[in-house]
Amino acid sequence: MNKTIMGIAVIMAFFLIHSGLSLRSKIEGAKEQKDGIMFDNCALKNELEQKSGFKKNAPKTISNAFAWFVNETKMFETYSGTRMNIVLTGTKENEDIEDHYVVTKFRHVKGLPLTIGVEKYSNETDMIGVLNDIYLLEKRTDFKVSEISTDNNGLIVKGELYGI
Amino acid sequence: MHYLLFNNGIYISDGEVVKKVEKVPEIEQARLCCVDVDVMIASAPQDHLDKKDSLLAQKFAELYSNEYITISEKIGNNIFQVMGIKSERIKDIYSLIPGSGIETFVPYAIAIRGLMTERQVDMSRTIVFVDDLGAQEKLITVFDGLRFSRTRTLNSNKAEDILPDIRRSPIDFNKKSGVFTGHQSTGDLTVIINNKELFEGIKFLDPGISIEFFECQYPALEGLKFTDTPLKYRLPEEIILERKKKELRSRLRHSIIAVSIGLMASVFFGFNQIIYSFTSRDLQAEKSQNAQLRSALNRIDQQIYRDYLKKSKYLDYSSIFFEISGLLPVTYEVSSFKFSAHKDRWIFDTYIFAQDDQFYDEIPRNKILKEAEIKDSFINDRPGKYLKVAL
Repeated sequence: MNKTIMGIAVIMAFFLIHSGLSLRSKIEGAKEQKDGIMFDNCALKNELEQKSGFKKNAPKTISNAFAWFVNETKMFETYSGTRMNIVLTGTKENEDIEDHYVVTKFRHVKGLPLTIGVEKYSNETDMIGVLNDIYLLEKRTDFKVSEISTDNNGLIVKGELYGI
Repeated sequence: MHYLLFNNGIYISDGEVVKKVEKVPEIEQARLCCVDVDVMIASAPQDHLDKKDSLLAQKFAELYSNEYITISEKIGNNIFQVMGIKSERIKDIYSLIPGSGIETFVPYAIAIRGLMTERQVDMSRTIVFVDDLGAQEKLITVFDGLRFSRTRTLNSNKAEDILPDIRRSPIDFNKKSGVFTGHQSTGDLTVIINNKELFEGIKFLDPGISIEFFECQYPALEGLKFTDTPLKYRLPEEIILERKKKELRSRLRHSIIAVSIGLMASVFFGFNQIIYSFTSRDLQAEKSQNAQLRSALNRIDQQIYRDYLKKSKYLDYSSIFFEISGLLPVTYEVSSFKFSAHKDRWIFDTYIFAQDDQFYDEIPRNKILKEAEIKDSFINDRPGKYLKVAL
């Protein structure tokens, strides 16, 4: 009888201690996970604080931004004596642009890498004027230039168009 | 305190006066001794009390066929002297005196040994103790150290009847005890007797015998006064009851140990469970906060990216190009140039050549060109300059 009671107690104790020990390892795991999330939360708070300095605007879909951008280039072509060939980086013009969206530093904001080949066909158009057009195009659209380089009689402008 | 001796009759003493009675009067406390005791020497493991008692009782039962109640005392290393009284006799005695009033209940020989020890009798010898209880009743017991023999009763007042028994007793004792202990007494025999006439008679019959007179009429009753021992014969029912209590205590102890083990394990598990629930709760809170922050950042990122773009478009390329071109000597012409963004800075670099192979004037290091990097170059078979400006 005593042996049975002791046996049951020892078996119960073994299972309880075993369960307790596995709980301990779960606790350690949960603590590590919590520490990681806490660290991440601190980083996110800092990021949020930094970004709170920017002015809030209504976002634009990338398709609208692209359409607006194309219209603007056409307007500059009309007035500046230049030809602006927009090329989606690494693809043909008529392909689905959604395949070319890239991740940007902003969450849920897409980037569309573009290259504009600016051809100066009017002799009255000088390089300073073309650069000014690029500057104005950038100002008026959600396009951000990353590189401008010369190419024979024109310029190659590389950049990224932003939108949601 | 009363002292009682049970033999064929009952002798009772209040410490001073001794009476032989048929029925025990009402007494509160008593020390008892009984003559009808069978003795054996047996070995048993002294460190295991439960095993020892049962083993000794079993060995005693193998030697004596009747139902006995036994007690034992240690007389050597793992050697015990087992003293048994028939259970019928015990029941008879307990029917005369209530058990609660009995302080000790020992064999007659232990009471005698107690008195001899008290009177500093040399116990290293083999002693034949002859106790005259009166009315021709003589009790003969052999002592050798702690060991003693079964007490024999002799009904005679004559020295010549008693002497042969005295001589035979140690021989019988040695035969029995030697078998069990492998020990023989020294052969140094002394007779102690409490009857003066018999003392003289035996001395007369055998002048060479070592004999001492012991001045005490009832040595067993006197010896009970000095027998301070926990030994006590008890009723079988009492023994069974105590055994049951002991078993119950043991079971209770084991149960407490079992419950304690279980409790400790439960506390360990419970403690960890509580800690785990707190940690899980904190983890969930952090996860929830993380989700909220990410959601807020998702929202704010979509709201501020246009402002960020607006603020980051600070470079007026035409103005920069115009300014750099204006600072270069007129003899130079710009061949190619490049604006490139590097993290938060812009780099303007260009290759310039002298017009119509004129001399290379020195490029002035002022304004925007103050920190510019200027190197000589050779491109398309034309020597020139490489200019790099961080904006």
